[in-house]
Amino acid sequence: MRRAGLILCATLIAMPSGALGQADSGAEAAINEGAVAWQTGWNSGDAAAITALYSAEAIVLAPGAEAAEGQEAIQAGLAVALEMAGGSTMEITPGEIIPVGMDHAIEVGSFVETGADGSHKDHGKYLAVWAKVDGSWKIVRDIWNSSMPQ
Amino acid sequence: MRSAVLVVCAALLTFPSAVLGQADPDAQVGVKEGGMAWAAAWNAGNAAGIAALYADDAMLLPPQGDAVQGKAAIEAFWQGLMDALPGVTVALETKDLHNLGDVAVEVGSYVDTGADGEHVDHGKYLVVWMLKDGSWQMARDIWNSSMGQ
Repeated sequence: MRRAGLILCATLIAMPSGALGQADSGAEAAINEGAVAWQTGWNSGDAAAITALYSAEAIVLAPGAEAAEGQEAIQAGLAVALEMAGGSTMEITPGEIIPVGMDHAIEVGSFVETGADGSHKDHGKYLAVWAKVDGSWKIVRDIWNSSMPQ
Repeated sequence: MRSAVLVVCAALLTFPSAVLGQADPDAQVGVKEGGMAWAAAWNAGNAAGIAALYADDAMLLPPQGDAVQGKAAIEAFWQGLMDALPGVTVALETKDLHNLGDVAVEVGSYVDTGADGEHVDHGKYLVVWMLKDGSWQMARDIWNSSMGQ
């Protein structure tokens, strides 16, 4: 019995803290799911579905526009962007995820936008700040830009 | 003698840390000073001064280009932009600061003005600041223009 206890202790000490569930705030899984949901929302032209990923007080900093604060302004901006995009599809790839405590995370990723005719429309990078709001992960700050020369 | 030592100790404990030559760990102060130093360095054509505000492993995500990582590359990037925009001055303004402990997220706006006073550009930025070795350093920096393309 004492020996089993010693083995258990040794195992616990040898394990990385993540394996004990301490370091995992759930941010990484939520962010990866969020990226898929954002992309799916865009590809189906659903501004409301994308907006649901943002917190009530979120700030979106889109190129070519003033800052949009709050879900209503964010949805309106997305609706205009979707209309201008003319049926483009978006591929979003989270790159780096930096956890900040248990309730925040910073994500840096990249996007590729393909036109309805299959042409390369745009590609660039984004930074999103995520926060756990009432138990679920939401985007609270979002900014991106194109990497293509003008 | 002992009482003199006690007075010095008390004075040191009472003084704010900035008086002792350490950077203020308060994000509000650190970010404000950092932003002022950034704009002053740009307006003085001092790319090294700008680069000094970034963490060693910082990353820039500039429009119309790929990500730029590390201090040397960041200095070269800003030097290149200064050379391309002679006489352009920049004004920065913090709009929102979210302090998360050792990390702070700043949202702000910038205005670029030409040498003859004309409006060159305006837009917004997001900077992730990190408290490292007692000072607030820029760890991630991304921005875009608000002007129509």
